[in-house]
Amino acid sequence: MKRFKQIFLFLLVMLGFLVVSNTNVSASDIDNTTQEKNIVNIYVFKTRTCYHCKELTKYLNELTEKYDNIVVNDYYYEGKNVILYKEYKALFKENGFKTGNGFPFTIVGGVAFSGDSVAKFYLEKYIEKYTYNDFVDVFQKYQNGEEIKESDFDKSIIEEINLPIFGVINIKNVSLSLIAIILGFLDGINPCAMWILILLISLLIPTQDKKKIWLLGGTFLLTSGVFYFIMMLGWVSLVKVIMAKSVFLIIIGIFAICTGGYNLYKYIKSVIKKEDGCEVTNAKQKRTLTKKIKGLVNEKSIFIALGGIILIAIIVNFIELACSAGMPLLFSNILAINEVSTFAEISYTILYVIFFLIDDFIVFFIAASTLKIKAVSNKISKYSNLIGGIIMLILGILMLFFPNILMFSF
Amino acid sequence: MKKIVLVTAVWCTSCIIMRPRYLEVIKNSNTVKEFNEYDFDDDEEIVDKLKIGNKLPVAIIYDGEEEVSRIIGEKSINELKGLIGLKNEEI
Repeated sequence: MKRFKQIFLFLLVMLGFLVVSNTNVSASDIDNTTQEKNIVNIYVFKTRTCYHCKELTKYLNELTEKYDNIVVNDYYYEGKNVILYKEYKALFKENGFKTGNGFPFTIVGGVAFSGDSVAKFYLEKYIEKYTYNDFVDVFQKYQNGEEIKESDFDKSIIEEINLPIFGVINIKNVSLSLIAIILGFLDGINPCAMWILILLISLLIPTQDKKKIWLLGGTFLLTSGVFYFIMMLGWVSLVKVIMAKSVFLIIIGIFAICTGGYNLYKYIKSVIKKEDGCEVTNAKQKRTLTKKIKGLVNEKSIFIALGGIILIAIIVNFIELACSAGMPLLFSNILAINEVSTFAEISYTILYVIFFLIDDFIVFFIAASTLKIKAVSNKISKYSNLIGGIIMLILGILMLFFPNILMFSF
Repeated sequence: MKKIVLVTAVWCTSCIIMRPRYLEVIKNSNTVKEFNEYDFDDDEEIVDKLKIGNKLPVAIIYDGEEEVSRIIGEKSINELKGLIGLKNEEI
């Protein structure tokens, strides 16, 4: 119990540290020498009626008063600008920028911003950087028909921050990794999937046959991990498809808020009723599975036992999917919003599943090596309802109202 | 003279935690004369008659043949003593 508290505290400190450290990079990081100022062109695609475009225009007017070396070029979404807009969107998207699907769309040097809030957040930093440092004006280069190289693009400020000790770290990678760890851990703590492992261990320990325990228990965990990984990739692909329609971002956001609220309700109920125990959901199904596993553990043929354990692991994880659909769906949604590459998707999903199984691994490793079962109190799952509920509420609200924060462009 | 019926399950972590606590409290008690434990899966008929709800473990406390209270879920040993009514006894 004490060890779990330490893990929780460590994760919270890491989260807090990262949220705090995701602050702006101060202007002083950019070299301000007395050399001649570069002219910095800012190109803005917009429409005549768009509210956010007007907001950005106001902001740019302020900037032009502050900086005498910037030139704002407006491109209204009309005539030949329509094709231009699409070309530049595609160009930046291919090079890993979030181009969103609306206006304003702003290009400066080697970077592009979708929306006014993100542009307002970063523009001044890039202006200060480009004023005294050489940079590639991708817009102009493309206009001149020159070949655009990957090195022309510049994400130095958006995605990277310079931290003491850690040095330069990529915000998105670290933040997505941290989300994979926290959501995976919270998803794993919930008792839905744990009861089968406890059952298996409780039945295997009396046999005092360590080899059998490692084999059957290990197979169960491995199968659960592989199956859950496949299910998670399914979620990610599904969400990517439905995410094309931004209405689903709203639906998933509402789903997250409802699920978070339900988790908090379960926490409050268990605090009031003071009944931290094992929930008996679907008694008939649980009894059937229990009898089957008891039969498998006593099965003479190890191959039949292994086959049965693999099947049971798949069935149980499939049944329990509904019980913990919230976290995987949220996680998949965050990956989809961030438009990560397939390789990154797989890596973050593996990280998620590792932390989903970590508590099971710990319980199983202790049991298999000591032949004693170290049961995890349900009080912990009560707190996972609390923390999980709060995190889901926050993520749901972010999805609905501040999706760009989930893209780690604060 | 008190009797305790404890319903647990092999797959239930709270039951694994609570079983030794009940045994310790009963071992040191002068009042509890009978203690029966039933398994949620193996003793289906008996357990279903007890109508235990959807949380485990459940301890049903009898005074003679009459049920006086139920203890649901995880409790500390001191809480157990109080709930079973052993507090003012010399243990």
